[in-house]
Amino acid sequence: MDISRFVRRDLDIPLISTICLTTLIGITMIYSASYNWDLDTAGQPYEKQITWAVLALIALGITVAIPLKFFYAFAYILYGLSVTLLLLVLELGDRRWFNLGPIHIQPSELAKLALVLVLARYLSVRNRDFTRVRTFVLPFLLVLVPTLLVFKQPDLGTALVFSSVILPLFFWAGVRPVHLFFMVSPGLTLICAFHPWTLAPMVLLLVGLLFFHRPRLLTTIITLLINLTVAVGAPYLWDNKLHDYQKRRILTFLNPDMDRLGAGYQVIQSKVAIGSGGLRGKGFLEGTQTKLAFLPEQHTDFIFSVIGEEFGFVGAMVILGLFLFIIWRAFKIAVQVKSRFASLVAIGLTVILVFHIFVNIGMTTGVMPVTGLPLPFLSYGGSTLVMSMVLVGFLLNINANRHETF
Amino acid sequence: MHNGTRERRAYVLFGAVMLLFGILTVRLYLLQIADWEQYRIQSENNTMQPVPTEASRGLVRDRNGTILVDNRPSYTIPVVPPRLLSSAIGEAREALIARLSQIVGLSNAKIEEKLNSKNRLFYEPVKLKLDVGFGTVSIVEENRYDLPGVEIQVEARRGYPTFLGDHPIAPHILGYVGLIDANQYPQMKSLGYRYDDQIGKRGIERLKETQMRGQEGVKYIEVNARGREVGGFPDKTLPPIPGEDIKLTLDWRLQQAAEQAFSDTLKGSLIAIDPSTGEVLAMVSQPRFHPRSIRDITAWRALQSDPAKPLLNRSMQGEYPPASVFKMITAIAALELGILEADEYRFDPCEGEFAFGDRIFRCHKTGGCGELNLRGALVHSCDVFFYHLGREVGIENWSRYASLFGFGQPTNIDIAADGEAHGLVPDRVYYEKRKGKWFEGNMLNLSIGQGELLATPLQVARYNAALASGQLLNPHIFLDTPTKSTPLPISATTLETIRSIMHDVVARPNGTGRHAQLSEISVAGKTGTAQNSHGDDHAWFVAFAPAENPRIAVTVLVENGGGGSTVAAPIAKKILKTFFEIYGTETVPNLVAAQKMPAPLQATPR
Repeated sequence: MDISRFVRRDLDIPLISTICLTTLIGITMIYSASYNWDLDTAGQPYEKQITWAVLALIALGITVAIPLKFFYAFAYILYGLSVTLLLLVLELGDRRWFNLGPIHIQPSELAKLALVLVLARYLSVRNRDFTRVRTFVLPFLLVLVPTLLVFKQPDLGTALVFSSVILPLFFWAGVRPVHLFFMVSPGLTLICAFHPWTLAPMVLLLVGLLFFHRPRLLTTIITLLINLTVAVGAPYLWDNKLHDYQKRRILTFLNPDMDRLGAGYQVIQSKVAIGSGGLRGKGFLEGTQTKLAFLPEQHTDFIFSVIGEEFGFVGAMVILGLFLFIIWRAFKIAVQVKSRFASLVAIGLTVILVFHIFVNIGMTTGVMPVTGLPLPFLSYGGSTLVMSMVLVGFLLNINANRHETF
Repeated sequence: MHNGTRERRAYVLFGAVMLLFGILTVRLYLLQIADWEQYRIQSENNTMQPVPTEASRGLVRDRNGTILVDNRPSYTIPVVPPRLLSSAIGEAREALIARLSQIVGLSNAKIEEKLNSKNRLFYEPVKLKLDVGFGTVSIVEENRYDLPGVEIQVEARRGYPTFLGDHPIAPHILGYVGLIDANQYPQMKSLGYRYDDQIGKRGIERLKETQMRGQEGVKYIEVNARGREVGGFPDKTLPPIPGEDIKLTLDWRLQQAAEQAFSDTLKGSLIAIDPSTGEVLAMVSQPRFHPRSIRDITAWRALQSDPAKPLLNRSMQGEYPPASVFKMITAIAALELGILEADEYRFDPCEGEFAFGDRIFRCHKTGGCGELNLRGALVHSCDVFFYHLGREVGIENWSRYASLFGFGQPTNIDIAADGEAHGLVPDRVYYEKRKGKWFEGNMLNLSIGQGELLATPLQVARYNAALASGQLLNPHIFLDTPTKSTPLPISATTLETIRSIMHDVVARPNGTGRHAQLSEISVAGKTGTAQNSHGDDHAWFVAFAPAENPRIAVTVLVENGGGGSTVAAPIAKKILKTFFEIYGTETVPNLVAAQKMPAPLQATPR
């Protein structure tokens, strides 16, 4: 590959510069978050993050250089490999990661990519009949396997990431919205089952849609059957099968205020930190909430609290703006690229990015449950940074080869 | 494609993204612009601090509901390290720690170690010192202005209302709680333990930890910059769930009588069992220790290195030769096998010794016991008679009958997880393996309960109860453990004969058990005096009463105490006397009756 030609003609310079800027902001905020730590061992976190950023950029470069055809051809193999690694890490590793001396490798990061590739390949095949139930059996299975494995680790956040990609990819591949609604209807029914007065409108809506759109008989039957099972089964399970501690765990997840000393306290402190930042913030290194009696995860999952406290609403808006710009570029790439496969990959990866951003910032501001998902490019952590950069590498690669068809 | 062009779908999806970002923007606006004032005040002046509220640990009660272990308030000095150290760097920090060390009486290094504990969440308080006196509390109170983050907390410690001053009762059974071990903590963490939590370490406290612990609650308090509580958030409080109470089969009155009957100069064990259920009414192991000693390192080290081994639960962990109390096994085997009748004069008169091969085996009575039948031989505990009898019974039969009564096997009492010895019933194979070959002379020693034979007092107690009831029972100490009994494959006549002989042992004026006689109740019993190579003889006494319908079976072992007749029998007598004073002619109250007892006192609130 001719590098200078690539940089001149095919590199999405606005995208890569925004990414670098965001990463730099991340390093700066990690410096602030760990500013007055008494560290006797190893390096300061921000120093480590710089090293990781360099490694991540190299990983990005490698991703750009690999032909997309390769990923198309090896999608199922990569998927199989990552599922195997997820199985192995449950059995042999530390459940979440393989501990290789100073480096921890999280196979779930690889699985995110592999899942998008394999779904994109399946959905990009021409003449798939998106009105038949059987078309969707394999994609759901492909999502279910890694989701369950990661859920067992237990890493609920990542499990949710896996399941978040499927509907947007279906939509992008051309599945009709009403069919998507049938797919999510069991989830909606689940919520409604615990709020009896909402169950009737939900049933009416579902039956109405089935009546007006008249999908195939099998689709109708399966949709109704699953919804019925959920509506009756879920409250039964809750009342009769779940132990008190299991219920408490679920309720705590949905409502962190119930958590004794952990998540609930973190969220409250995070809200105070962000809220006290006001319009313009307390200034760099001046955050008091984040410097004093605050949570240890402030440089990882709660990095946004530090930003919110020290740079206020303005700073938070800048971060949201940067992310929005990145997402917009990604959409642009997904629309322009010729290959169906590449377009689906671009959308899938973008969804992963959006999901992380929304869930993480939602968590620090108290609108989403505490899941432990990091904030891409900003949170401290090698695995995450490398994976985020590789993700961008894919986008750049797709952009550079947007005229290719295969 | 069925739903329009890519551009249209991109608009829809990007619209969804905009919606999500819109939600975040609104949220940030609410937090940072609309409610800024409120959060600013919270962050500048007050901090919300979660304070764990201890769950009260379950109590331990005896069979009648009397509280044996409760909870009492004590003062702990916790500190929130980041708050204490936030303003102190360098020399100021050292001065602060030196001052703290002076107040609480811990070394600087120890305080640093506690402040830097890695297992703690960032904002979590560290317990600097537990169980401090009023003096320390008032000094801390006076200095709190200069010691931000240092607090005074009322916590529970275990209290023992039935202890008589420094005389603990049943400490080996009750056990104790202590700080969780550093290497045990990682496993316990997932069960909700914090690194400075108390955990049951031994005895019932350990075995019933999960039931007794309960679940910690939390309350949120508002503290100002000085660490003073200025308010609370009652709506956020999560109340603790108290632990369950544990009921024991012990009767504390009997237990106390048993502890007192064993004076502090004696070592040994006493076990009283209800022979119809296997319920342990009293279980003593002497010397004792005070469960609270674990809080004092010096006292604890002294206990650990004491040659008298006060931490050992002799009742189930000590192994001793059972000596003459074992003679009933040889006798039962002989009666069951038809070797002799109880009143048959069969062997040559005892002249004080018995020559076998090139060795002389002596009787405990130097002058000899004269001509005896089985009854007389047990009443006088004649050894020579049993040498003869043992040879006729033979090792195979003897060890089979010993096993029938549970010797050589753990009793699996419901506190066995605390450590139970198995004892040893040697058989021919054992001697062939250990000594190269079987020697007939070994049988002579075994037939009087000596030799390689070893048993725990609890095994002897189970055997004693089995003689009384004809059932091999599972001894147990938790009131809710069900009784399991196996009928002994021994004829009623044989058991009746043995009981009547044991009655004679106590009732006859010259019987070896006469020191256990009670005026109104007939007692059956048997003495034992175990020779041992390490020192003075061990004194044994097993007894049950009333002989005709036993309601209590008492087993006494006095280590290096001398003769069973003069040392152990009087101790057993005291327990039997107390038992009948308490219960009269009534039967021992069972579970149902115990639950009808008046509600016990409330646990100490904290």
